[in-house]
Order: sequence, then C-alpha cells, then structure tokens
Amino acid sequence: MLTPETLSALLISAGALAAAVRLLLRRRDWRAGLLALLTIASGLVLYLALFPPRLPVGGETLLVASAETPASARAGPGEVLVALPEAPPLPGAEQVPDLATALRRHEQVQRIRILGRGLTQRDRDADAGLPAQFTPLPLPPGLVRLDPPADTPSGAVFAFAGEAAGIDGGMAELLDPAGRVVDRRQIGAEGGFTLGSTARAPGLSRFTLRLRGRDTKIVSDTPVPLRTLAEQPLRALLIGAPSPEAKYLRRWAEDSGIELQSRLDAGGGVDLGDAQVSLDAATLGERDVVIIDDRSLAALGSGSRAALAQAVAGGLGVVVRMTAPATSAGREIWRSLGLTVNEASEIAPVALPPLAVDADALLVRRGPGSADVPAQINTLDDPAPDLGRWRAEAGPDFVAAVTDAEGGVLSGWQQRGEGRVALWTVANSFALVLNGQSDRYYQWWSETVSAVTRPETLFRPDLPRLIKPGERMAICGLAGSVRVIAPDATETALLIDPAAGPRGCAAYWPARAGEHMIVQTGKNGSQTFAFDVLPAMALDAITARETAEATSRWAAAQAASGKGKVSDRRGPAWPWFIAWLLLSSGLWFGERRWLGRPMTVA
Amino acid sequence: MSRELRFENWLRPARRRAAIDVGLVWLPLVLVIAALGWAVGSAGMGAAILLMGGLALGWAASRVASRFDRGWLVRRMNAREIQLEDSAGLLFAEAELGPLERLQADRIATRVDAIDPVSLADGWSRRGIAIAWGLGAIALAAIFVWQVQEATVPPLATPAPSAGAAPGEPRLTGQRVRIVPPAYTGLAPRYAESLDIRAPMGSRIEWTLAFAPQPPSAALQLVGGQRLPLARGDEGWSGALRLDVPSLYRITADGMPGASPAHRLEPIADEPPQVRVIEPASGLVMMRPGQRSWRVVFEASDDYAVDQLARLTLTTAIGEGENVRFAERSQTITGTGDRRRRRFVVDFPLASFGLQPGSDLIAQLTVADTRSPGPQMVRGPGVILRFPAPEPPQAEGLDLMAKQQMPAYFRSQRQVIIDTEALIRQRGNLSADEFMLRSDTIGVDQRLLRLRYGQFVGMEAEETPRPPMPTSDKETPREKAEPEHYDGDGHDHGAAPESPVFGDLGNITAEYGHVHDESEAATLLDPDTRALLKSALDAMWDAELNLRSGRPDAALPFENKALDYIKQVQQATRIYLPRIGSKQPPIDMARRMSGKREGIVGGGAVLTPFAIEDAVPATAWRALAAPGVIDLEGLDRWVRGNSARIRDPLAVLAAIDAVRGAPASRAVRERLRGQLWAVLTQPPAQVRRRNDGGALGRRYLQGLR
Repeated sequence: MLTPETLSALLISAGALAAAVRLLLRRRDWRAGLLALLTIASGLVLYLALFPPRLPVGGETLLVASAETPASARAGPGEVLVALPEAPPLPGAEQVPDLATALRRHEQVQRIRILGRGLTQRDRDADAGLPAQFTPLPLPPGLVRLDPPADTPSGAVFAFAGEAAGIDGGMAELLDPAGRVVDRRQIGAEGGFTLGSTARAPGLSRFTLRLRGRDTKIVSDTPVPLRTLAEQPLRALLIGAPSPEAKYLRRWAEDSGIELQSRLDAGGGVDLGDAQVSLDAATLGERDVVIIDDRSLAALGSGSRAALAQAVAGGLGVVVRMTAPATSAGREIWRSLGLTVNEASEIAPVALPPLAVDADALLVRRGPGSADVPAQINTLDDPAPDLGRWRAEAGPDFVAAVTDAEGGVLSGWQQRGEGRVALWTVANSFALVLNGQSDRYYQWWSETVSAVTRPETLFRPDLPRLIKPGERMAICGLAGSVRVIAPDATETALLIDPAAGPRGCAAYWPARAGEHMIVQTGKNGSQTFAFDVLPAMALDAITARETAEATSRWAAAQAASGKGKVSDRRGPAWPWFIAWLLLSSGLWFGERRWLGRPMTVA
Repeated sequence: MSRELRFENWLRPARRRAAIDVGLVWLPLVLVIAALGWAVGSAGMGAAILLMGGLALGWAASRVASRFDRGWLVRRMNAREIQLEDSAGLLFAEAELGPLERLQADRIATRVDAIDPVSLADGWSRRGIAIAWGLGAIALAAIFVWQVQEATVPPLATPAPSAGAAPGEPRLTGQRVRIVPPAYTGLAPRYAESLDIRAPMGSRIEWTLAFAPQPPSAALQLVGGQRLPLARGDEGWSGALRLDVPSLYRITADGMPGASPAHRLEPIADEPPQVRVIEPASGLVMMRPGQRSWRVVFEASDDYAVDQLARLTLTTAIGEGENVRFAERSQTITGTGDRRRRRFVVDFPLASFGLQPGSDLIAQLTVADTRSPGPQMVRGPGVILRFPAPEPPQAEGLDLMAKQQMPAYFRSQRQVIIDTEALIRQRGNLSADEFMLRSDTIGVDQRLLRLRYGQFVGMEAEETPRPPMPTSDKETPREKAEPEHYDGDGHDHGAAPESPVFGDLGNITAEYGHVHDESEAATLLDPDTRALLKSALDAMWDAELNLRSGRPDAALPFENKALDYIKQVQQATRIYLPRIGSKQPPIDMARRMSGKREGIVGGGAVLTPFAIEDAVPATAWRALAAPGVIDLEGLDRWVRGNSARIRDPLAVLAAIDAVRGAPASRAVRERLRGQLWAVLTQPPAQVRRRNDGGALGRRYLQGLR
C-alpha cells in the first residue's frame, strides 16, 4: 500500500539523490562532496519535518470544571483547565461547549480529572477514551432521593419514600395541594423516611414534601406528583351468606362505583342478592372478580367449582373470605382454585397502625364530612376495634396484598394462569366500619381486590418517575400514532423508535413545567394519559446526587476501558522545519559561493 | 369648784380633728377606686363603691377617734402643761380622792380652765394629706383622660396599599369598621382591625370609608348578592349591615378601576349551651338506706351567657315489673355564678316522692342561653337515683332450674325423617361414599335423639353425651394450641377442686355409684307412658341401625313408627323435661330454614348511594390544571349549597371570585385549585385495574402454564 509517508520518502530521496549525483557529476572535489551530503541531509530533514517522528508525549491532565466547581480551582503544571457551560466563571479556564470539544482541542491530554458536581447526561453519553478521576462533593443538606407514589386509584392511600441528607433530627412533612399538613415523620440518622396520604378525585395533583431542620426552619419544599387514575367500573360478584361483612362490602361497592352482583344465600333457596346468578363460564367471563366466603365455596357444586377454577386460569380474580379456621377439606378446595395454604387455623390479633399523625391531619385527610356523618364524629382517639386474623402459612408463591402494622398478612394472593386467587383472613373486618374506620376497611378491600382483578389491556405508558423540563425523557408502551399536548396546547407528534421493538418507546423533550397529555390513537380509539412535568428548580438536590453517582460510574468505566491506549504521538514539526530551513539555506549559500564562482571565473 | 369637769369636753376637739384627718388622708383613695369602678363598670358601681368607701372611712375614723380616752387626756395634759404639776389625773379621777389629793386637785382646777382644749389635739398630718390628694388628683385625671379617649371615635385608618390606581381615579384612603354585637352577647362595640370582619352573628357592621379623589357615589358590593350603597357624611362614606350569613364583599366607587380585592364577612354562630353533671359522678346512683335528700349539681356553659333560670324535669318511675307508674313534674331553678358558666344546685327531699323499693327518680335539666330572638334550649343528661329492689330470695331445692343446662342440640324425629327422605331422593346424584357418609350422619342424629329420650326411661347412657354441635368454632384449635398443660408444669393452674360444692357431701350416689335415670324425670312417668316411650326407643334403635349401615330406605318405616309413638306419648301425658335456662342455643345455620321458603324475599335489597356528591368541584379541579374556561357559576352554586359542610367556604368563594376577576392568571388558578382540594372529600377507595402487560405480558403468563 502506498501511504503518503512512503510516497513522500520515495520522492524526497529520489530528488535528493538526483541533486547529489548531479553535483558530483559537475565537480569532483571536497566542496561538491559536502554539498551533496548537505542535499541528502536536507531531504532527510524535509521528510522529518513533514512527518515528525512519534515521540512519547508528556502526561498532561485535563481538569474539567462542572457545576459548583470551587472558585479556587487552578491548572497546575502539566494540567489544562476547561470549563463546561454549567461551571461558574473561573479565571484562566477555557470555555468549552462540552467535554468532547475539550478532548478534541487538547489531544495531548492523558487523563481527565472532573471537578465539581459531575458531568451531565450530555457528556456522559460517550466514552472519553482516557482514564477519568472524580471525587464527588459532599451533598448539600436536603432531599437527595424521592420515590414518588405509584399511580393511585381514587380514594386510596398512597405512600412514597424519600431520603434526606444532612438534616438528622429534622422533620419531613407532607403538605396536601391546599397546603395543609397531612403526614409528618422524624428524620433519623439514616435520612430515609416514608410518608403517605389519600388520593381524591382522578387527575394530577401535586403534594409538597417539606423538610425542616432540627431548628424547625424550612430546608426545602419539593413537589411530589401524584397521578390518580379514573378507572372503568369493576364488575364484581359477591357470593356468601347474609352477614355484616357482606353488608359493608355491598356498601363499599355501591359507593365506590363497583358494578356488584350478589348471591346471598339465606338458606332454603332464599337468595337475598340479585336475581339468580348461576356460576357458569359465561357469567364468570363477564366478571372481573368474585368474592366468596369459605362456606359458600365449600357448598358449591363440583360443576360450579370447576367453572370457577377454569375462569381463574382465564384471568378471573377470586377473593376467598375466611369465616372459620381452615379445614383440610377447605384447603383442598382452595388448592383446586390455585391457592396453596398449608395451615390457617390459628388466630392472631391484627395490629392497626394509627390512621394519621394527629387529629388535624386525619380531618384534612378525610376532607369535609356530610350532613349525616360530620367530619368531627369519628376522631383519632376513638377506640380501635379488636380484629383477629387467621395466620395463613403458605408457600413462596403467596404474595401479601394487605399487611398490618407488624407485617402480619391480612390478605394475600397467588397466581394461577392469568388469574389470581386471594385469601382474606380477617373474619370480622366489618368492625372497622362500625368503629368509624370505614376508610381503612375500604382501603384494605381495595388493595385486595386490586391485586387480583382481571388483567386488562390498559393504556398505561411507562414514564420516568420524576420529569424535569429540558431533559429528554423516554415514553414506552406506545403503539399507533401518539402525540403529546403540552400545557400551552402545543402538540408534538412522537416518533416510536423502531429499535425499541415491542416495548414501543419514543423520546420527548418537555419544554416547560405543567400537565402534559399523551394521546394515543389506535385501534382502541383515542386514549389519554396525563403526566406532570415538575418545575426545573424543584429537584436540584436530587439531581446533584444523581449526577454525582452517574459521574462516578462513568469515571470508573473510563478507568477500566482506557488502560490499553498507546501514549505515543507525533512530535512537533517545527524543529525539523527550522533544521531543514538552515540546511537548505546553507546549501543554497554553498552552491552560490562555490559552484557559481568558477562560472564567473570561466 | 367645778369638780365635775367633763373630760369629754376636753377630748372632743382632739377626736374631731383625728377623725377628719383620717378622712382627708384616705378619701382620695376611695374616690379613685370609685372612679375606676365607674369607668370599668357603670355609674351605679361607682356610686356603690363610693358609698361603701364612705362607710368604711367613717368606721375607721370613729375607731381612730375612740382611741382618745381619759388616759390619753391625762397623759397629754401632764406632758403639755407644766403648770398642772403632773396632777391632771386627779382632776379626772373617778374614785374618791384623799384629803391631800383633793387639795392638789383644787389647786390645779383653776389652772385647767385657762387651757384651751383645742391646743391639746394632735396636729394635722399635712404631708400625708398633701401626698394623698396629689396622687389622687393625678389618678383621677388619668382615669378621666382614659375615659375620654375611650369614648372618642378613632380616626380613619389607612388601608393596606393595593394595586396602584391611575391618577384621577378614586382610591380608598381611609377605613374604619365598627362592630356592634347584639345586646344579648354582652360584648362591647369594637373597631375591626381590617376590612376582613369576623363578628358574632347578628352584629351590626358600620363602615366609614374615605376616598381620594371624592367619587360621585360608592357602595359595598356583596359578591353574588346585594349592593349596599354608602351615604356621604362628614368623615367619609358610611353604611351599615346586619351580619347574618357569611359572604364576601368588595368596596366599589364610581370610577374605581377594575375589581378591588374581596373581603370576608364571617359571622360567628352562637353555640348552644352545654350541660354537665358535676354531682353525682355517675349517671345511675343507688339510694343509700336512710337517705333523706339527694343533691344534684349541674353546670351549664355557653359562649355568651346562660339564662339564670333553668327548668328541671323530675320523672319518677314507681313500682316493679310491669306495674310501674310514671309521673313527671318540673320546676324552675335559679343558677349561680358567672353568666357564661352557671351552676344549678338542687337538693331533693326524697320523702315527698314516695319512692318504693325498685323505683327510680330521674332528674334532667333544660337550660337556655340568652339569644334573642329564639333562645337555644338544651336538654342536659339525666341522672337516675334508684331505690334498690330487694334481693330475690335464693332458690333452694331447685337445683335443676338453677343449674346451667346443656342446650338441646339434637334434631327432632321429624327432622330425621325429612333428612332421610331427602337422602333417598338424592341417591342417584351421590357417590357411594358420600351416600354412606350422609346416611351415617343422620344415624348419629337418630342416636342422639334416642339417648335423649332414653334418659326418661332410665336408659343408661352408653357413653358420656357430648354436645353434638360444637358450641364454638374456636374450641378445637385452643385445645390444640396448649397441649402441654398439666399440674406442676411450672405455672399456676389454681387449686384443684376438692369438694365442688359445700354441703354436697351427702350425695353418696353421685360420688360412689351411678344412677340410671334422671332423678326427677324418671319417676314422673306412669307405666303406660313408659311402655310407649320404650317402643319409640326400640323403633329409633332399629332406624339407627339401618341408617348407620347405609340403608335409609329400610330405616324410614322405623323412623315413622318412632315419631308416631312419640306423638302418642306427648298426647298421653306431659313429660317433665328439665327446664332450660334463658340462654338460647346458638343458631345452627345448617339446620335453620331448611323448609320450603321459596319466594319469601322479593328481589334483592337495594342500597341507596351514600357517597358525597362532589363531582362539580372535582371537575373544576381537573379543569384548573390546564388553561381553559371553568364553570365558575356552577362551582359557586355548589359551594354555597354545601357551605355547611365545608370548613372555610368563604376562602373558596374568594378564590372563585379571584379567578372570575383574572381567568388567565396562573397563580390565582393555582390558589383556587388548592382551595378546591380542601373541599373534596376522600371517596371510598376504588379498585385499581390490573394491566396485563400488553402482548408481551400475556405471552409470558401463558408461557408459565
């Protein structure tokens, strides 16, 4: 292969040789010999000036100043200081738009040291190819982690976790959208805390997480986005005997918008429920969940039971309500439905957590009462009922749905095929309603039924949990034509990335904070899903922590990958060029002096 | 010589001067206290204090004056007048004098007349009088100044700076709001600090407002309500309103730009009084033997005043069992104490009620507050005094009745027949094992019935009868839960019973032998009945035999025969079954209502929805998140309709009003959104639908199978 270097070498050497031979042919004395030597040397130096030899390059370090770099940062000997756009003004620093530009400009650097908070996503995307070093700054006091609550059905309790740094002994308070305290926790030495409240009407709401220091001064206010989903009415079937539990389940169904059919067998063919409901595949196919008590389940005919078991495998949810200790025959029936319980005949008390931190918070959580049930009628100090649960011993496939304050399982479920079967172990849970804690009763049943209800294809795109304006976000779970409507009513069509495959992901850059709406138009008509973009400054402390962690990871990866890199580079060309100039001028001078004179003499 | 020299004449000037001196020194204090009483209380109070002070002063003066007596006179004369030669005592001596003494007395008497009695008196305490009057004058002046200041109307306050008005447009420059609470509250009129007013319901609110430059007209506009024109006066524009309903208002003037901020008018409702029983401590009191009277103390409290008169209702329930006569009487009693917290003390003379053992006396107090119009009446809790009924005599010789009986858990013979017939009918549908099991179960029932009837003919129980039905579901696990309990296992089980019942030692048969029949029942049957019963038992035996060997059809004739015999026995004679206590057996769900009951319940029970209707604010809350038009009128109507439930409806109305004024403002919309969140009630928790994870998730779950 003819590279430029060999071509130049050939041409130069040919030229030099030709010139030297011509000189020697014209005259044959020591001067001509010297000039011929000089010609060859000049050709050699010309080659070296064009292609300087590879030299081991001296180890320069690139200092990269990122956000919050201390102003005292200076470049030492063998260091180059560059400032990224987010860095504060630093004397003597070279402004670069991003890290890649800095690396291009300073090819000679051998390693990178990152100052300040760390690199943003922009600079972490690509590898630098050099070993990098990063020591994170200590985190500022405040919120460093926030796991926002999951999507919550209307009226249900939600909880979220967070972590604060540097405010040991302070308080974490949750403020509802109206600015009233609904929950409060002391922050321990670890810094972690969990707060919760209740969701109201479907929509997007923004709670506020307020951190207070030990001196009760406000450290930070962080928005906590909560999405309350509007659900299609559930279709449920209640089978059992007339009992208080059935009564309050029906009450719950009526008030929370569940389409309930009931079969309440009073004996002797007397059914206090709706018109005759038969348990066959067609009926069960129309229901999302069946709540049945253990006695009614045992009294079902073998045909009905088989239909029920088959419906569970096809996606139906079943809640088996215990009214008596489990017998071996009963457990055998449960097993036929897909619920494996080894033992459930021992009673244990249910430990009820307090409803709220104080009476005010409870009032705020429940909201205004009605004329029949004023808000003040049920207070925090009301005695809690004594509830008992059967201690269910089940296999590893059994997942708890509701637990009490001490972790005792009140209800749990097990998967079978596409459906799930849950076991409700509290026989007298209706006592909660009688003691003025109907919200807790509804919550328990909501969680249990939500865990097992028939799965459906719902439009629930996957989104990042905390969304900031100006940052690229990935929306997954999309299909068909999708667009996003921003709060200022601008519409952006999303392009689904074919590389994401069946996950259906698209990228979106929210420009401003506020409620955005994803609209998907597909074969199921137009479906919408709202998400909240938080104000840019709201999550600074969290961003700082995430940046520091990501930069540490990135730096570690660079150190691992950059080891085998060669460290020799072409040396500078100018010394060779000057040498060539000197040689050539000497040659020119010699030729004029020695070779020209005989001509004039002649 | 005037030996009857009256020493009172000598004392009078000194006494008078001392009394006047005391009066002069202390009178300023009395005057100041009286003035304070007049200032704080009323003129009557001031006059009363003045009168009381005057009386006290007079009494003190007389006490001081009475200190001047004969001894003082003698000492003062001897001290002041040398010419009396220390013999003044002789002049005023009461006892008979000796001759020498009389001589000296006569000598002195002439010199005494020359002395002016006034010169003997103490001097005026000038400094004390001066200080007292000086301080008194300052204090009186201060009180006067204070009163004068109190009475004057404060000048118009400068309002909080609001959005700047263009030059030439009227701007609020002064404000004063006077609140006159209704007279019954006893509260003094006051001036409100700001234009947001919170006052007792029914108060009269008087505004005086100043504008610059002067507008042609001004008014108070109630938000969503009437318009109250203001009248021009010397100080500014004024108007008044009676505060009855919570509302918002804003001040408008001709030429005023835009909408001024809305202010709150919030009435404080008069709470009804509350009655508490102080004595006795519990609601039910047992009468002590020999108790003559009963003392009850009620305490009523109210936010303004409790009416001094209250109505006491006394109900007597005299008699026992079904023969109880009720009588009710009421009386008016007077309370004592502070007007906000009055005590009502009643002592009932018990003799007048004619209480008998077992009867009750119930006292209840009805109090009213002073609201006008329409005082609020509240009926307090009742307290009961019970004349204890005599203890019923201990039943003796009725062990059987007093004993707790094991409830009857056996099925009747008729039930056994019905079950057997049902089993025969279902034979085709049942497996052999299940058929055998059901037949055996009926056989057990038959056996229990046989044993039960067998008791009356002296049939020996084959084994200890066990309650055929568990009395509680929890029994079995509990026995299982503590298997290792035995005496001496380390913790206390209590002493083992040695002799269960005192006086039971004579029951030799029970201890050492055993009886073959129930002691009372067995001998009560005549031989014919016994024979019939025995035949019934034989038939039952056969029926049981067949049932237990799985031949219900063979058992049926015997069962019928047994029923027939039992019917005959019932018709023949009365059987004295042991009486069962009042404790009802628990309901056996399996046995209950197994007869034909089709169609006794028409349709399912229908529930009325109970959820709170807050779709209107919820919709508005959602709509406020995005820019757009909101149905403010509907929301306004909803809030007004539900204002009784909501904690602070005025704040919501104010936020609605603000949005109406600036529909596009983001901050204002956010504030209304926050207020609406406080209005929403937590609905019953709904169910979250489960996502199937799309095609991928479905395929995964199907792969699991």
